[in-house]
Amino acid sequence: MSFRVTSLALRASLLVTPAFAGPSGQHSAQSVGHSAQAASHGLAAISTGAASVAAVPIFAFGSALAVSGATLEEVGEGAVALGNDLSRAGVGKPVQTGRVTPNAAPVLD
Amino acid sequence: MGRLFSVMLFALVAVSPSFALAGSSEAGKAVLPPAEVATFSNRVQQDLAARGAHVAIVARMGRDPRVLPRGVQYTHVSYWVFSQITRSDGRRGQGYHVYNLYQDAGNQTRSRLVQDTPADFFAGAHRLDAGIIIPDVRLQKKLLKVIASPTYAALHNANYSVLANPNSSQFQNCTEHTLDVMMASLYNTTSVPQIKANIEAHFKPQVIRIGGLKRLLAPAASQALTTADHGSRVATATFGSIARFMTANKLARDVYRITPDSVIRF
Repeated sequence: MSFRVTSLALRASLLVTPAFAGPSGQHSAQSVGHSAQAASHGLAAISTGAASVAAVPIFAFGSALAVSGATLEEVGEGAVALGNDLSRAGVGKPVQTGRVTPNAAPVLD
Repeated sequence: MGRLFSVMLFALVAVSPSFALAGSSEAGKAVLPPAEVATFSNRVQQDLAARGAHVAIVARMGRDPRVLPRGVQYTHVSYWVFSQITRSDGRRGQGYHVYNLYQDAGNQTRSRLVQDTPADFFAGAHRLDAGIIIPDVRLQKKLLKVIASPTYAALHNANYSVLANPNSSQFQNCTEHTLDVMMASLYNTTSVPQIKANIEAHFKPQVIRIGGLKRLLAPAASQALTTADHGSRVATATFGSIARFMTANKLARDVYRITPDSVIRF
């Protein structure tokens, strides 16, 4: 009996802890073509695949910004099914940190 | 006696709040109605544009806040960059493009860098509530240079841990990558050891209170819950701790929270 209760307790603990993990998975239920995992980089992201987008950061500061055109989502079913991923390959490896003297606290120019 | 111990163990595990923190993954099936998500993502974009933000740090609530550990409100953080955007069908416009580090769906101990849209970002939200930091415009310029350079990807460590220690480069999560990019921008460096030394010296991560039993058992549920890169105290980068760091060092212009019907200054 004791063994069974202990076993139950341990199993329960393992059922509780998965709450740590977030909702994983891709937009499988909604994506229309989410697989445009194009490795891209640079100022002009590369558009490949039917579901991808090209996005170029705007560097011109100082003028008024306005969200316009195709960047506004259409309100309705499927509006979040855009699935416009552009994945960029990272180095993906940890870098060993040695003893380094820190700089002073950050300040802006 | 053994039975009593087992019952106590069961009660301890079942009752104690879990430190659910992840939510740093691409949206699976949307929790909220798509129309509400679309409307909210437009609202956040319009708000950022009205404030003249070229670069902002935006956080989402990917889990019910009641299951989050004390001191943690948001589960996923990314950079939003004002961009000229062209859709695959040729439609164009100006708006925000989202730069994420997402936990890999197939292997939760790995991550990848993913760019998506504001609506994709909020598709993974449990509640339409965004934390926003608009950096000082001088920092925005520095961030933009790094985000648009190979440094952004070079700072990615694909070994994912939900509770990654920001002082260490053993694991990384979305918030830590955000912080690393910021430090690279502030100090104009690509050196990970230098970035980590500066984080350790100047950044105070959020302490996460985890019971010993839960800490012991967590990796059995998922290796992404490892705390192997921590000492006796577990602390990780969060939206709140980044906001405090930026405010304390006069790096932020605005720190606020936006919901479908309100804007609240932190």
